[in-house]
This record gives sequence, structure tokens and C-alpha cells, in this order.
Amino acid sequence: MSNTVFDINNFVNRDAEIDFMDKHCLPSLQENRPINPQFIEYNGVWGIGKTSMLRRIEHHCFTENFYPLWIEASDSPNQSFHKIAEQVRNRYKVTFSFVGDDLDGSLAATRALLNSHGRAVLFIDSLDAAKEEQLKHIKEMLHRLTEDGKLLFIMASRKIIDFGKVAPFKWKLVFRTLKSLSRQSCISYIQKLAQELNEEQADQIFQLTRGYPVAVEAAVQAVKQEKLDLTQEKGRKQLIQGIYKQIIEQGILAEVHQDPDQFLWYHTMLSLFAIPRRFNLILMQKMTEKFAEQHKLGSSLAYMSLQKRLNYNMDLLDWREDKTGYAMEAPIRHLFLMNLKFENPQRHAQIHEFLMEENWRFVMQFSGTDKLHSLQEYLYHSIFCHDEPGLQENIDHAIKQLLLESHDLLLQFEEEYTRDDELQDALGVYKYRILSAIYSRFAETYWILVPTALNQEERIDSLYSYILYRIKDPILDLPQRLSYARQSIERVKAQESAGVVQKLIERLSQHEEIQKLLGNDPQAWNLA
Amino acid sequence: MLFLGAGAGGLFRSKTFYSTAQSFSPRTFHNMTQIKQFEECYRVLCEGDFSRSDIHSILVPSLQSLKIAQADQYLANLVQAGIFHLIISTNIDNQLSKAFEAADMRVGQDFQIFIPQQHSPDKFANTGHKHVPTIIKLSGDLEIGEHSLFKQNFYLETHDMLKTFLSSTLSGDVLMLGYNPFWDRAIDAIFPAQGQEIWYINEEKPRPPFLSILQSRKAKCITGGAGSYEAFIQQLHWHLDEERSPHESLLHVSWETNVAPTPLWPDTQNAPTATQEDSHYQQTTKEQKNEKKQRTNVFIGYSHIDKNYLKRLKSHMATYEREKLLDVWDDQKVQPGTNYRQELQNALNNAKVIILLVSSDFIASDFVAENILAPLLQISETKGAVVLPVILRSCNFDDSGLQQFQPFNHPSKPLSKKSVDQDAVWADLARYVVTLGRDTRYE
Repeated sequence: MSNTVFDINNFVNRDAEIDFMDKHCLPSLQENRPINPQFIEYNGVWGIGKTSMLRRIEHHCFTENFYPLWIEASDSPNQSFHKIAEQVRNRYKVTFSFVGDDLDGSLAATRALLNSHGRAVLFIDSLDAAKEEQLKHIKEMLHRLTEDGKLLFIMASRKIIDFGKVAPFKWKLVFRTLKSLSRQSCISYIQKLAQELNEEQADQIFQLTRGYPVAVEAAVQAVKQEKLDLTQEKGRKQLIQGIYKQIIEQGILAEVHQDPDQFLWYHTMLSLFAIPRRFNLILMQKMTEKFAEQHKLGSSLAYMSLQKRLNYNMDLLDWREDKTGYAMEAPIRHLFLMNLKFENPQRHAQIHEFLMEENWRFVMQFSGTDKLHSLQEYLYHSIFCHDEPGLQENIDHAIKQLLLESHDLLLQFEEEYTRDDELQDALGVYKYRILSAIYSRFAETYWILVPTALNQEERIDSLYSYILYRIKDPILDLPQRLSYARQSIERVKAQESAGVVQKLIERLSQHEEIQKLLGNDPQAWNLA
Repeated sequence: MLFLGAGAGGLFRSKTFYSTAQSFSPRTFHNMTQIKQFEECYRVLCEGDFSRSDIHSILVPSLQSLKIAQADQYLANLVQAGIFHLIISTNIDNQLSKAFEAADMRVGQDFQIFIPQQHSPDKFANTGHKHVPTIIKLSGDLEIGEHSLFKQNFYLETHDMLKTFLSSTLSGDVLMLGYNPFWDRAIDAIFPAQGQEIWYINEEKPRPPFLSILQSRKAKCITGGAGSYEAFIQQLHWHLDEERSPHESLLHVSWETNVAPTPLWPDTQNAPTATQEDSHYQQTTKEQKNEKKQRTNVFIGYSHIDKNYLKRLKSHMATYEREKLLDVWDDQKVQPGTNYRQELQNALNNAKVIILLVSSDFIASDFVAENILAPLLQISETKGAVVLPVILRSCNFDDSGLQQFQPFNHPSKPLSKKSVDQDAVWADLARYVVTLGRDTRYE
């Protein structure tokens, strides 16, 4: 966050980003060739850690003598020009003929630095906060300092500001999107912020904030100051309310906070649209009419403007191609969700139930990919509106529908489901039931395919896949897997030649995925 | 008589229209063909809770910034040349009349527009269409605010005289372009099942219920990429514009196109098809002379480890190569003894479309980096070549230096994944490359 003092010792995670910088960007600063990529733009929601990321790289550049310069795009153009000249003169002791605190002056200063040291890095933070005039100047600066490929630009912005549309940057521009911290990084970050918190407490903070850095910091502060007990519902509720107030009310909704009507409208509507993981305008209309009737609009078409109004100055809701719908920025969505859950658990459950039913309607109505996506959402919403027997029943319904689909679609579902961490986390112990059903179906399918093989190679392929899916069921433990593997081989032996069996066992014992499932020592499997 | 269905209209190529409809649809547009997307747009507008003025508010901005399509310009030329006199269109936009005006045709003098909802149908049926080329806008006109797009029946259902005229006209020889069974379904009711020949030109094969009309009229059919409105009109224009003699009929010219129409049913198998002699004739006359103008040069870059993928892609492109729509280059074309690098550079420089088969081996290859990737960025910028990475196997595409080019398939769904229908991707890619060679479809 731009308002936080950067402490290199507290910097955690972002290994992929550091790796990217170390491997692809910074080496070219040491070599005698044009820098490529020359523009790195970090994007991500407010509070995700873009400024910290930039500061971390700046720190590295400074220690490695890559001559970093830093400006804030939220400053006025003159302030930025002045800061560049000042850094060149005072920080790096490079002299140049002063032209003035204007664009030409900052260009002269930067060129003097490049002439003196060959390479430099210009950091531009908070691009999204730049006023139009400032943005125009930045583009001009980018244009005029790009030519010889000696200056690396590293920028941060909430939303992508595509300088690539302005030739000649297109081929040198790279966008990197920052996401919340992983569980492991989050825990280590929490322990750096407050050594007195143990791993269990840190994990509870992670569960409540899902690793959203600004929320993690607020949570740590609250736990330290107010001695909250997060093992108790009361403590968790207090924490979430505190974070919500600080980040949503006083941060994201700060502009409307003073106007009670406006604030209530944003609070109600954003809390409502935080529940679905994706939605279209028709769903927006239905949800508004059912759960916020006082705010309903005159026609379906009017909901196009609702989405724009909700986004005013906040840019929280985007059309997401991967979700084929609108979706709220994940870290913010989580805070709205948690707040509603503690504030009004009944309403929280009712909205989930409505969405569960809507998605089931789509499941029955659609086929193909659309059906699969609706099934995933159906499962997700089921979790929050059912007790255990009810949830188990819904999972069974979902599995039944799933198994009606073709092999290819099941494969697609398996891929998407295993990538959907949020759904798997929410499903908890039930997450494996779905995979178990899918793998069992795959095993049957490959067994049926065996007689249709055109040659021995294809035959062994099908047999191999049959055995793989028989033992891949995540519910099984190692002895059960070994037992299944042996039973399957016996079944194969009953109908295949000794040669085929021999080749199959060889293939199984060489394959990494099978070794992961059965252990690294094929001799111990006793398959032959 | 020329019939223009919704697939030949402005909405079909309006990106704004698709994105607006998508925001109201629970279905995934990017998994569908353009025709399926277009039909989903229809469903959304029909089934949604939209008033007439809502629909107007969706359609007007969708058509507002559309440029005149090249196909419409070609059609204007064909009308000027007297090839078509009567055009029946179900499109409510004014794209075609704009194209006519851009070709210096004056409305009222050089052509007229008949809108059943606005003009007297009886008057038109008696005299209106005989003197000047006429466009009949069966579904109405968006600008005057009168259209029957999402209604079950055409306005003219209640106007017997015009209906009789249309039935009689549609029972003659009809060239049908861009018919869509959803958008144009109202035409089914007035389309006579008996009559003279129908030439059905479309990207998709005909479906019921219109299929039965085509069957009983023993229609001839061009479908697939060559059956799109743009591709067909372009072909037709080219043939007629440069070589047409006053004695050549439209039918004759159509037979000469390198995309021979195919009979739909066994009993039409005796219909004339392009013979070897015809092909030879084509090769030695117009085709040869204009080959360069027609073909799209395609460059394929790949790692030799992935040569099996190359083979599959080439098999999908072979049809279009035979049709002389594409000229595909890969390094297997380099003859022994020639300067390999020079040949490769020439091919890259001449390419209009550059396909890169991306895998970890491709990205890791120094040869590729030096000889393909380094000049690639400059070529795409200075020569406007379209670069299409296709992700074969899981790799670090986002860090490959190629990430600024939109990959054809999502990096998370490489072709090597079992769930990916590889042949479908190759087929889509081949078709897409053909459309890139034409005018831009979307605006």
C-alpha cells in the first residue's frame, strides 16, 4: 500500500514475481543489449501489495547499482519532474544543466543519469491515481526515454493501463497481476508483524482474511491491541467487523461514507453481489428484486447502468472472461461475504440458497461447459445453506448429473474443479467425493475401451489409464491403493496375454504419477 | 433474386451487440461459434424482460459505429452491374443502403428501399420494383422504429398482395445468403416449397425446418468458410468484376468458382460439378493470374519435437490450400542446398498470418529466439502481420516474451491435455486464418 512504510524485513511471498524479475528483467540491466521487456506493470486490487512489490524491487536495484528513480503518479506533473531531477542530483550525484521542473528538465536529468551510468530503472507508483494531464506527461516520458532501451520502467496500477496501445511499447510491455498471499506466506508474514502470535492464531487470521495483505495487517493490529480470541465466534465477529470498518467503510467506500443514504445503498448492493462468484445482468435483476426490492430498477436494461454505478470510483466489479460473467475482486468480495455472514447469517444463507436454486435450474437447462460451470456454482452455494445431510444429498445430485456427461466434459470438469481452491476449501471433507466418482467413471470407461484398441500400444494405453484411475481415488490410503492395483492386474491377467501384462507392469512401474500413488519402489508393489 | 438473411447483416458482425447480449446470458459465448453466439443473442432478446424501447436501446448502439462492410460494397457494385435487381433482406440496419450510397447510387433514383411497415405494399407489388433495383426490408427498419424482428410473424402476414408477390418471387431462382433459422424463421412461412432453383450459401449446413424446403426445391449448397456472406460475395465480385462477359450467367460464373457447390441429396448427384477440366481451366486462366491477390500467406513456426502437431495443423489447412485461400509455409518447404535462414526470413516477411506452435521446447530454442522471435515483433508492427500463438504443451507462456500476442487457445488448456479436442482447435484455427485473410469480420 502506498501509505505504508516499506520494511524490507517484512516482505514475504511473491516468489514468482521475484523470480520473474531476477530471471527475465534485471539481467538485461547488466548486459549490453536493449532492455526487454522494458515495461513491467503490476496490477491488483487496493491493498494487495503493489507498492511493497515495487519497493522490494527498488531496494534490490539500489543494492545492485541499477540506479532506481521513484515517482508517484498521484503527484502533480511538476512535483514528479522535480523529484526525478532531485534524485539524479542528490542521490546519485550526477550533474546536469538545469532546465526547469518540467518535462524537458526531467528528461535531461534522466538522460544525464543514463549517460553517466549506462542503465537505470524508473518506478512509477499509483498510475491509476494519475490525473489526465499527469498521464499524458508519463506517456510522453515513456515515448521519449524508450528509444535506446537503457531505461527499465516498473509501474503499479489497480487496473491495467495499457500503454501497449501506444506504439512502440506494445512488444516490450508485460503485465503482472498480484493476488492475495498463499496460506504459508500469510502465516510467515503475520509472524513477522507480530512474533507473539502463534501458528494457530496466524492460521485463523488467514482463514478470515484469505491472505489479503491490507486485511491481514488490520487483523494483526486488532488482535494485538484488543486481545481478541479468535477461537470464539465473538472474537472472530469483532475482528471481521473491525477489518470491514477499516478497509471497506473507511477505505473503499470512503467517498460515500459521509452520505448515509448513498453509503447504505453501496453497502447493501455490494454485500448482495459479493455472494455469487459470477453473475450476469439478469441475475443482478433477480437478486435485487428478491433481496433489495427498495432498490429495484424499472427494466432489465437498466441493470447495465447499475453495474456502472456500483463500479463508480471503485472498479470492484469486472466482466471476467474466464468466469463468463461479472465478478467482484476476490479479496474484497471475501470481506463483504464474511461481514454479511456475521452481521446477518440468515440473509447470508437465503441468498446462497437462491443462487443454489438458480444454478440448479441452469444445470437442468444447459449442456456442455455451461452445465459444468453451473454445477460448480450449485455445489459452492449448497455448502452455505445446508446442514450436513442436506449437503451430502446435493453433492449426490450433482454427481448424478455430472456422470451423465461425456468423457471429455468429465475431464474438463475434473481439471476445473481441481483448480477451484475456493470450492474445494469450502467443501472440506466432501471435496474428494466428487473426484472419487469421476475417477471411478474414468476407470470404467477405459476398461470398456480396451477391446476397441486398434493395436497393442493403444490397448496398453487403455489398460494403463484403467489402473491409474482405479487407484487415483483420493479417499484411498496406500494399502487400499496397492490392493486395488493388484486386483486390477488380476482382472487384466484374466483376459490379456502375458506379453501385454508384462508391458503394462513395466509401464506402470516407470510412470511418475503411479510412483506418487504407490510409492517409489515398484518392487514393493508386488504387481507381477 | 437475392435473399439476404441475418448472417449478412450488420448485427452479425457487431462486436458491441455480442458483448451486450453476453452480459444478459448465462451461457459461455467464447465456447461457441459465431453463429451460435448470434443465435444466443436472439434467444436473450426474445426471452428477456425487454420492452420494445429496451431492444431499440440495445440495437441502435450496436449498429452505430459499424463501418460499411466490404461485402456490402461489393454487392453494391454487383447491383450497379445489373447482376441483382431485387434483394429481399431480413436485416433492419441500413448498412446495405449506406454501401449503395457510398457507391454513388442515389436512393429513389438508382435504387429504392421498400419497407412493408412504412410503404403501401399493394402499390409496390403492382409497380414499385420494376424500374430500379429494390431492397425489400422484410423485417422493417430500425431507424424508422418499425420492425418485427422478435415477433412470430412478419408484418406482411396481413398483406395478401405483397405476400402473393413474395411467394411468387421466392418460387423463382433464389440465391440465399446468410439465412439463420432463428433470426429468419419468419421467412419459412412464406417460402414456397415448390419452385425453381435455390442456391443456399451459408457457413452452416441447413437445419430443419427450412431444410425440408431446400430438399423439396433440390437446392444446391455451399457451406463452410466459403459459404460466409463475405467470402462468397468477394468471390463472386472478383469473378464478375474482372472477367465477366455479358453472356455469362450468374449460374455459370458460380460453377467456375473454385468452391464447387455440392448437391445436398442423392437425387441431385447428377448436377454438374467442377470437373478436372474445369479445374484445369481455372488454373490456367483467372486463378493463375490472380493467385497472389487471393491467397493469404501463412507462416508456421514450431520446434521439430512438435512436428506431429504441425502435421495435424497442415492437414486441416490442406482444404484451404487446395481452394487457394491460403499459402502455408513451414520449414519443411525449404529445399536442400538453399539458404535456410534466408528462406525463413523471406517467408516471415511475406506472411500475413504467423502461427507459432508454442511449447517449452519452442520457447527454449535459441534458433527460434534468434530467427523467429527477434524479427517477429517488428514484422507484426511494421507489416501488420497477425501473430497467433497456439499452446501445444504446458509452458511458461506468460514469461515467454510472446505474451503480448493473444494466444489462440488458453495457456491453461494446451492441446496436449486430454480434455482438449485437438482436431476441433485445428479446424477452428484454419477457419479463423481464412477469415483473417478476408476483411475483418467483427468491427
